[in-house]
Amino acid sequence: MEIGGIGVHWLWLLGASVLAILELVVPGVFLIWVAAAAALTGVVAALLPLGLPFQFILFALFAVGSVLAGRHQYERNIVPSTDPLLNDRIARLIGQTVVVETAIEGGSGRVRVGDGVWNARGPDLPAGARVRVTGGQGTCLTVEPVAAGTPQIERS
Amino acid sequence: MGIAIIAIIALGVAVLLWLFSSIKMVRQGYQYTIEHFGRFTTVARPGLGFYPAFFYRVGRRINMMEQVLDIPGQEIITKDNAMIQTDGVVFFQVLDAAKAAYEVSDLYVAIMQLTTTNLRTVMGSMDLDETLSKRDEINARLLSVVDQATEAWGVKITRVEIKDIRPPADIVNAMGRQMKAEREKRAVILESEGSRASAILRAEGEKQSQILEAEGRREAAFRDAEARERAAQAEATATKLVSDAIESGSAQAINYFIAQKYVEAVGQFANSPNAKTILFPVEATQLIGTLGGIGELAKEALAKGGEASPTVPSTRGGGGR
Repeated sequence: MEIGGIGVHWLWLLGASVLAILELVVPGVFLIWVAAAAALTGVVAALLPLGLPFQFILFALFAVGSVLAGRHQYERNIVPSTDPLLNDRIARLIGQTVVVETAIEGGSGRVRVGDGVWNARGPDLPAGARVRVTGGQGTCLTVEPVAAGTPQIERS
Repeated sequence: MGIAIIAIIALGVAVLLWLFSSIKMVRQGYQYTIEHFGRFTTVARPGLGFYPAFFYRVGRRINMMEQVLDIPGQEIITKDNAMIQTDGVVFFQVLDAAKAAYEVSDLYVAIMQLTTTNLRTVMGSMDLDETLSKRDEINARLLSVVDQATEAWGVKITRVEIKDIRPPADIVNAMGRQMKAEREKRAVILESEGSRASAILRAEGEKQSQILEAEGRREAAFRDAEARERAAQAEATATKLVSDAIESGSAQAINYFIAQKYVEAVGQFANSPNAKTILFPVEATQLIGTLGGIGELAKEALAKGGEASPTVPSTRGGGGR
């Protein structure tokens, strides 16, 4: 099948190349999967004598398939980040020992982290006690007293 | 045939668009809230997500990085009624994307208004001098209040800083003069303290020197008195010796000595360069008495022998030379 004297499969491959280039120029638009689908369609059209509508249907199916395959591949092979805790402040604080700034009474108080102060939940403790951050929810840290029973009093 | 091709092409385009809107690539630093038929279901974290369009859609794109919000300059009246111009910055970070997206309508406006009103509260409760000198305290109090209030929005306020505090020009002028006067006062006090200390030192030196001088005089007086005593003692001893000698010898001997001295003294009057007239301020009768004594000596001498008379003038002449 030909349009304007050129084989349709060439048009498909040309479209695939243009889409791939566009993906490079305009990043993050996922054109690369569509390009892959177009290329596949072109190959199939070259091998089999298919009508134009059928080629489009094939292209749409290939596009969905390539996206699903790509997502599957993405989830299977997660490239580890060298800093998985980026933008996760509380996760960064877990395990740190901090000092209670405002006594924890009735389960909530404030602790000093660096030169900032965070809301904290945990067992009742006087100001100055040392606690360890065990987790957090929202903007509130959960803390536990530092082991060894006797909280060290620290003046800051 | 033509309409069928168009329909199929449209279908292909629709599938493409559907794919585009289903694939959610979230960039690092952001989180998207995903709504399922308008209801919040989950948060899309950085990475690739596939949320089939029509059923799911992205609600809000939340910036999870620490952000800075400028608090515009505003006029605040302090406790002592001074009008000051102040502005500041708030640093905050969204920790809970869902809360930040749905618990508050416009996060930025909300944080700004909250900080602005609390800035007024905190600085309005302080004197002008306090607002200028206690920025740390203002920052800490603001941070505490704003942080507690924004907890419900999943926002952590990391810092609130006052950038600038500008009192009105006339007050700045007065403060400058006050500072200058304060320093001048200290300078004058220091100067007068210095002169006081120096006067005290000088007086103490004088006192010391006078004491030493008086001690010297006392010592000298003691020594003088001793010397006088010693001299008197010597005189007494001499007199005693003389009187002893007289006692053991004749009383006439002493008379002879006295007469000799008198005559010598009179002779000295005669020798003085302007002594054409001799005055006898001394008791002439005594002298005459003495002469009487001499006469007696002569009489005795004549009664004994007669050779003594020429010796008297000769001894007189020898004593005069």
